[in-house]
Amino acid sequence: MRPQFKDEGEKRKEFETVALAHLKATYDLALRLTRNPADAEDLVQDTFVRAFRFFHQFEPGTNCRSWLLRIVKNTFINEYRRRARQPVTMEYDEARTTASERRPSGGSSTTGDSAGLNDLASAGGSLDQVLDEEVAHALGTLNDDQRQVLVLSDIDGFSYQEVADLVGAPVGTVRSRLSRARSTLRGLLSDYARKHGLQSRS
Amino acid sequence: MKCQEFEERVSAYVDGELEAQAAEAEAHAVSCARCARLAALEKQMKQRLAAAYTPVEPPVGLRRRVLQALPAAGPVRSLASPWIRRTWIPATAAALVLIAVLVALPGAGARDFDRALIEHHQALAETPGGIKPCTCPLRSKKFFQGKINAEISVPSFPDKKISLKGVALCRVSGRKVACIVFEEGKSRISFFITERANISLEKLPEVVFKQRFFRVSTYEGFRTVIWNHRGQNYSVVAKESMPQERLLDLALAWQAQ
Repeated sequence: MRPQFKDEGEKRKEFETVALAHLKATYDLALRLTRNPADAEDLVQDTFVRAFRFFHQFEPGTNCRSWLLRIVKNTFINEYRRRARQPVTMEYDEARTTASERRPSGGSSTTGDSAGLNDLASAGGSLDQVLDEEVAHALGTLNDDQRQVLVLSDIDGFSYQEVADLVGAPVGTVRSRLSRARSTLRGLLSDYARKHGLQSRS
Repeated sequence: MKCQEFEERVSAYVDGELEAQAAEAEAHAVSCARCARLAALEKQMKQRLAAAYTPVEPPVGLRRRVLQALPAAGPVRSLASPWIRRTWIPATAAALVLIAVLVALPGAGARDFDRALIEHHQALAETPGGIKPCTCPLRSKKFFQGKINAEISVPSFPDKKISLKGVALCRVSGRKVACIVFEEGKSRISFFITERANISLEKLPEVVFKQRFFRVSTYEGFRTVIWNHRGQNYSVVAKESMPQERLLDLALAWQAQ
């Protein structure tokens, strides 16, 4: 627990420096959750008002971004999800592939496997030469649901349970959705890595 | 654990989400260089994703809006009145409560605000079946369409004489305002909620009605009853022919909700 602030002014100043620095990440998450700019702005504001109220509980030096994103998460779940304009639903395609994954073995091979990265791993390759644009492009090729869980997990740093709470799906679904998303990415990124590898040799 | 099983679980493994099988996977990664390499690449992919991801730029003004919403140093100012929190459930309401801070009108006096409200009351002219879009920049078909906006809850009056005609979010004097329009007989009565920021009501005469304080004014043939509560202005506007007592009655009933 941090020492009490001398006064509200000091608290405010510190809050502006430490917390407001993460406005962008906070808005980005809020927008992804609400899927609506007006709601996202409200959610951001509610988040910071709440964060300010509990700022004395924030441990200086710990990850403020992650602290704020958790407040976004809780505020969204408690106050926004009910009124989300686009309810999170499981799409037909996903219902189908999830079902196919429940088959004992081999069922997931149709949705891609780790062959790409596998080969790369065997060959001792790396993703170092893949460009950021290519990574971003690969992310863009995922379907909305896959991208959503992947970003919540890898960018925002939420646990599977937290992601499940946010998207309103069981943990098992999050797990398979993520696994599928990564599988697709592996394939794409390995292709890029190999391409760069060839280019650098020539 | 065999290589194939490890490969199937590598995603959860690098996320630290394997739970029961974590130790088994760990043991496999220690003994199998190729799978260890696979896990390393998977981790690298996660890192690359984080580095390559570009968050959406927040809209200009969001930072200022957030700062203005924070309680000012000194006496704590509540953002939303209990009435708003209780009754205005959906997104529109939250937007409303939070937005008005956006635009401050330097030096706006009670009279200016009064005039703006009255102009707005006039603009919300009657059309068959509902209220007509006003001409303010925020006017939005989705708020009107001659219907009551289902996203906004409204004060309810047990009195059957007064009926709801429409609800809208509009812009008055540069700030967003909730407009709730009722009719009593052929008289239109508008209720407005807006953020108090920078509007001083001090110059308006104050009246005490059933032990509550209200500010009242008349302007260009219209009558206004205004009060503020926890950072919001609440106004009731009607033509001057409507008795002040009736407006105060409605104001009181609204305040009680």
